[in-house]
Amino acid sequence: MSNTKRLVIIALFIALATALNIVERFIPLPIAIPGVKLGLANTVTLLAILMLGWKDVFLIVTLRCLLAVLYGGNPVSFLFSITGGLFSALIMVLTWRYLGKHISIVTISLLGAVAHNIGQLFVAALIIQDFRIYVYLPVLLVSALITGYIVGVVATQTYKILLKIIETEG
Amino acid sequence: MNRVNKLIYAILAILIIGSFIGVAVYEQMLKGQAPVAVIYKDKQIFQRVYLTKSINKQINVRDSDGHYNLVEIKDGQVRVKEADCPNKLCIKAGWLNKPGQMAVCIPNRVSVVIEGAAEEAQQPDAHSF
Repeated sequence: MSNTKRLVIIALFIALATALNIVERFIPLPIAIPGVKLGLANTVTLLAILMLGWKDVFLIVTLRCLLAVLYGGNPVSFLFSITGGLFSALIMVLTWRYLGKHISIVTISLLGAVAHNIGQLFVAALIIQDFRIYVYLPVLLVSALITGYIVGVVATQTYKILLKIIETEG
Repeated sequence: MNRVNKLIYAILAILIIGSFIGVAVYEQMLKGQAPVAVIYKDKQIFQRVYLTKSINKQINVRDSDGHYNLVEIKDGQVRVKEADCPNKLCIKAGWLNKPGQMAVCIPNRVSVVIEGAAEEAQQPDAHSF
């Protein structure tokens, strides 16, 4: 992939992730459990892992979290999204790198979603110095499986289409 | 589906079942004890209130910056009724009535936990620190 093309893809991914972040806020969830989110922007992280290098992935995650602050976020939500986002990206980068030949994109997405929630609970526990907050872990893990699966399927399909486009465009 | 994939699914399944069992065991340990709503502010106990049916009160947890969480206690249950935090996750946690349950407000560093008290269960009212 040429440098210019890479740069354009990174920029597009950051824009897309930011847009998904904003759109997600307007989607009502059927359950009212603190911390449960769709995590649509993780589709972009996943695509970045499949198409770009790990440095680009961390760049995209960091910038999308920073941009989310400008679009109506706050310091606390930034702290959560950046730690959750980077930890989940790290887990997905590592599994893609070392187990990518053996596991499906959906599996990588599930691991990323689970890592995201465990990481966020860890930050929350550190802030309030109370690890009893992990009583939320079971529900959050179940929600991670559901959202992680959806994100994984979306990323798999999008990846197929993107590959075709990149091949035909040269 | 190949072996590695299956292995990862098995690990995830164990993790989830394990977490459910962990929380169930934790709640079981607290069962039978008198439920006490403990409000923490900045890592310290702000107020303890025994959850009995007769207690109806609202506690305003306010700090020097003017940030607040309004905790409501009613019919042996406790919830965060109002708060000025951005995400309102503490309010979303809803009514708590079982020992082990928790509502957390990270921005204001306030948490409401139902703890179990082995003794002094008949104590009628709150004592604050």
